[in-house]
Amino acid sequence: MNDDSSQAIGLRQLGSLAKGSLHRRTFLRGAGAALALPWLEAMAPLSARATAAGMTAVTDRPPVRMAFLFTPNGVIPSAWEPKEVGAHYTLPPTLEPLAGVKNEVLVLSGLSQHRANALGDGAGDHARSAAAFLTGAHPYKTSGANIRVGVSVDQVAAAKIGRSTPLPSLELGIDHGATAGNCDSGYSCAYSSCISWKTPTTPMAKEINPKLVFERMFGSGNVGPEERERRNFLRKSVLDLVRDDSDRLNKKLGLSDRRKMDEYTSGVRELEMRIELAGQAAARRPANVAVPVGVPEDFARHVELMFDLLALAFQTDMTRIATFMFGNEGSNRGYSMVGAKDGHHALSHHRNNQEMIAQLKRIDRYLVGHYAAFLAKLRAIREGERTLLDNCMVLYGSGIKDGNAHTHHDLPILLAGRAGGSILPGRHLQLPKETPLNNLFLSLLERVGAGVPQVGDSTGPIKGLEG
Amino acid sequence: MFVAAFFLCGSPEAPAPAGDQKQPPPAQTTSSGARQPLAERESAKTFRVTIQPLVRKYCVECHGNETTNGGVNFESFSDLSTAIAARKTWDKARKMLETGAMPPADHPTRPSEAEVASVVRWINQAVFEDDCGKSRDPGHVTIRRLNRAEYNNTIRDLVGVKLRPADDFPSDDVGNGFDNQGEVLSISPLLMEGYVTAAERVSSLALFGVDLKNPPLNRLDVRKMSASGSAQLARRKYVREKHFWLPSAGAVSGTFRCPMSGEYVLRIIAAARQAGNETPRLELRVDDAPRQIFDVTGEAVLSHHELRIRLSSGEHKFSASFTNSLSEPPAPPPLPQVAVRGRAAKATDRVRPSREIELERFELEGPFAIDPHDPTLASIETRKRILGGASAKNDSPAQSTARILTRFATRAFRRPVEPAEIKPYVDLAIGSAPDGSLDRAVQTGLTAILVSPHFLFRVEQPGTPSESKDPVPIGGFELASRLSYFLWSSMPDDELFRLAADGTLKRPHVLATQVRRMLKDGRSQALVANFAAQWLNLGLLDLARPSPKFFEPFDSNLRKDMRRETELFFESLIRDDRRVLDLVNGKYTFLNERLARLYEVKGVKGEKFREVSLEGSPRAGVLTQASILTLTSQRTRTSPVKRGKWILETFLGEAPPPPPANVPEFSETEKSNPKASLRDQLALHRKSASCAICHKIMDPLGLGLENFDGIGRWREKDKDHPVDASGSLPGGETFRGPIELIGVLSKRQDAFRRHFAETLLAYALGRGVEYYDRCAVDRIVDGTRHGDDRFSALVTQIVQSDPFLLRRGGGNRNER
Repeated sequence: MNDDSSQAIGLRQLGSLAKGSLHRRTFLRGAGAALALPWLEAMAPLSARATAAGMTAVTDRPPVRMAFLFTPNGVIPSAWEPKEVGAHYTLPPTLEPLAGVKNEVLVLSGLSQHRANALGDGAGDHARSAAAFLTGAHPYKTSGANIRVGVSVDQVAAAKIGRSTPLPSLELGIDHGATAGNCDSGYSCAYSSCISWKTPTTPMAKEINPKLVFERMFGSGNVGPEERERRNFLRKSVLDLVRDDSDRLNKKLGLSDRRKMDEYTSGVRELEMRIELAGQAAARRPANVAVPVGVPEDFARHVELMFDLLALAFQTDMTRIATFMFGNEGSNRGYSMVGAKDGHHALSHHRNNQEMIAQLKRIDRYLVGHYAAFLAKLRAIREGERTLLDNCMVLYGSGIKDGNAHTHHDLPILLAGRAGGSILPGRHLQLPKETPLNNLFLSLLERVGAGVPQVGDSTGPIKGLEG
Repeated sequence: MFVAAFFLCGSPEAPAPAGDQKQPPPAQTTSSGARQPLAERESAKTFRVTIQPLVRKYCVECHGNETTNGGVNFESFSDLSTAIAARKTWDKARKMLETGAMPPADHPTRPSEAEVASVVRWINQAVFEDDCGKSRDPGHVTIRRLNRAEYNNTIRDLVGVKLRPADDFPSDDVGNGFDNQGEVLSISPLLMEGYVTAAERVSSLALFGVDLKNPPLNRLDVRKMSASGSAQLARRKYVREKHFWLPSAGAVSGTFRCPMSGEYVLRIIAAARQAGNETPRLELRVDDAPRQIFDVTGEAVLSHHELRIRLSSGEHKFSASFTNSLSEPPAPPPLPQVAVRGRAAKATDRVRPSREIELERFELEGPFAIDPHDPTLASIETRKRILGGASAKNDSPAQSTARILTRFATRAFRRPVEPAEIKPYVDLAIGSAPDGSLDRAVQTGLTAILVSPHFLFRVEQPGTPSESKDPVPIGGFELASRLSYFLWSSMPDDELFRLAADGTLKRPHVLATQVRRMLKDGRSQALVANFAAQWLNLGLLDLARPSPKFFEPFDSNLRKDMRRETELFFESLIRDDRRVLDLVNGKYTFLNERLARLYEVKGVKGEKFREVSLEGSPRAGVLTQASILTLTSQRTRTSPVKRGKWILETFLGEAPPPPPANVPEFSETEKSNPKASLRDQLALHRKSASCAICHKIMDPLGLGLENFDGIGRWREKDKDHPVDASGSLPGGETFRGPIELIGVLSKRQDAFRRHFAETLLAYALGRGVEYYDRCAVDRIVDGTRHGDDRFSALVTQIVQSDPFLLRRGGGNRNER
């Protein structure tokens, strides 16, 4: 398993020669999660690179980054919730994989996503929970026309600060968008396969192919600087032209058509911005790296690879905002690696069947393990006086508390990182019951330099993040 | 969506079942000119005198000012005009009434059948102006971008390259059951980026036969390289591949073949062992000329060393020599390549510190840029097609570019292109090639055209607000595209373009001829892949994971076979123009040996599928195909509920409402009574009134298929219980086993035909079927029945229908 991963990304480590005279330095120890570290470490710290790349606004303080990691189908609350509050709490079974990074993580209790509730719309909690998760908005129930929810917190941030990086935001995931019309009781699949919404009507498609993520960040192919320059110039002229064309077309269209055309022009504009920064992006391409090849079949390797890329994106300041979906909401993936025989969704309706609960706990714990590995990876990257993780806010959670009951209050939410020093992790923070999840988002937006008076159904910032 | 609750409303053999034949004109309105004031006054009176009291009596308790369940408030409708403005509400109400879902069964007072009928009639007349005589709203299709399948197919037919660029695009969202619905198809920045990248790749591949953005990477096998000096093949522990080891001065060489002249990257992947005060160096020679010297730094870490170089087409020799070995031991005699496994080397190696190089492999990547004069270019088919005879005569490059791009854009935009419209593309193209290179100009032009909104979207002229509100025919080229994307998921071909240009395409007999031609064409396979697979929900088969403990023969091959059977069945419906009712009760199918064994059909050998008669077998139509039976089962058992629901939804378009919240799930009853048969357990939950309303229909239908296990094998026993596949429906009909069940369904052929027509219409139009389509659907259904239910008859009816041929007048009024 390790050999393949190393081929996919990171350095191929050289083994001993035929006669065994050269040492095999073992980068490949333990979990594959550590694989990419050698080349991540090898890179210069961000501020130095940014200067080298001619980035403007290089301040003494590295920027704060923000990631939202979404896990479907809720958790088993009894194994998730710590019994004690404050710094001296014992990790409950599901959170045990966090032992090595316990001091970096804030366990948040009491947060709710009220807008995911039925509010008169009947069944469909899976779709609603994903759609409302980062938007704090109530999705319009439709399997076809008039998809509408709200702008998600990451896109609120991207609209404000996304221009300072080559990619305004990065949307990653493991599962394809679903291909059935009706993913959950009359809700369009867009609701359960996307947590990021650029506008209330435009979901941000996620990229699941590590190779394409890499190429998106650093450009594809092995092109010399001159040729790249020429191509970018051409690209820009092409985009100029089609933008004019779409403007002309737009004047002839009715309202609903114009909305579609607006998505097109806004995509064009975004690409134009990207090209402005393409030279910098290419300059930050880590040297000596084999580009990942396609989508790994193995779930664990796929997740690790995506997290490698996310760490790289943050480290190289390609973006400061990201979302990641471990699965589409309602995913029925089997986690045979932890002995969960049935599909995740089927299991989540456990009806207090102890065997099913046991399997679910193993899944919950397994996914938290991936989170822990990602945090460790971010922590292992130095950034000035601190670590990259110190300058991040990495949220992990689900829009459903318990898959069996489909409730959306007291959600399982973890927040890691220190946001450059304005968050004190290593605690279990009990918030007042029914605190809107969007209140937390309001607080995060402020820390990432994208403060707004209100986001979704927020009522005010969270108190107590600083300790 | 207009199907009445056939299973609730008694026997279908009763005369004139509701909803499938045109209702006689109602007594209280005149049959023409429903807009007459008299009719309006009548409607207002009916609303006041009949409807309001009924609604007050049965509905407002839960849907009124005080309690507003589901956001429905009938008390807010103070008069006729506020009432009929709320079409969606009434549409839902009609459906609820027709299916008997509302008022709920446990409501203390229930309306009589006559009362229900009077409300439904009023909804049809007053709210939906159900009068098929006058001109109807043909609806508006939101501007549609190509979806992934359409993009790939269009590139294939437009350019002729094998590339499927859309496979890298994010997946398309689905609405109304299909991924081609204008409202739902959005463009994310990620997709926009995909479009640009794809355009660059396609134009490059089309013109130069190579994707200059992602050119081929050739890795040279070590066995094809030769060694001199100390170089010798060695093998690392635990790894199969060999590499070259250079303990002291030596060289490795080999040859690459360049398909065409251009810019390449030659790469050496090597590692070193450091010793002494110099870094080990490799000298790279190309065709014996020294080109570059690389320092191989790092200790035992593979690194890449690249040389960007212009190479002519043909063979090139290159070599890498280790030039600064630490000591100069006498070079060992040249060794046979695989001979050295380490013994001799190990002995020499131990005595002194060593500066060594390990050469992993050579790579040649390219071309990244090519020489436009390369003679091999002229033989590339796609290039010839695009350039045409343009290089002839005394045209200037500018004139040639204009002609080439105009021709290409005409096909790419699927309509004639105005000179003023193409000019910016030509200007850009010429401007991008300051050296006057036609290649470069055309490539830029193609790229721009493939990113243009006129290519990516199916633009239909919206008309102007000043024109009359009456429906207007869509243009000939728009019609050609509607046809080709409906039946081929691709662009029109030359014949369609020709008929669009001479204005004859819209003639009914021309349309009928084209439909038959297009269905026979191989491209109609797209209807199987895109329509049938989504309608039948075949995607769920990929997610099915039958437990090996119970369903041992199931594996990935069988899964593929199951899918293939259903695909071939539908393909035959299209190609052989069979009857659409065969989907319900056709006595034939397509099997290979594996599947035949599963079905216990004898005499089918080998992997190849062939048509097999099902006469005398308990199977018919798609319902008894293993694909459908598997995707409606659980891991360890069948699910009569899922199967019943599938029949209702897929065959009859009667999606049962979702279960009420917090119902005890099935396994709870299973636990409380573990010995009971599945049938008895299901019977338990039909005792609850809130469940019974749907399950009394779903469960019997599904139980009728109980003779088929979770992967579609025939069985007489379920565990210890003999299978009882009998059922009785609320209307009093009874049946026993799958064939009788299918007989019951066959009697509902009107409902099936109507639902199938509506489903195909939604797919054809790229929008949901709405209340105002009711008359069009009536006509399509009638026409299909008169056309012997042939698939081509249905398709012909659809493409001759108002929603397909017309658009709304007066510009794009938008509904919301």
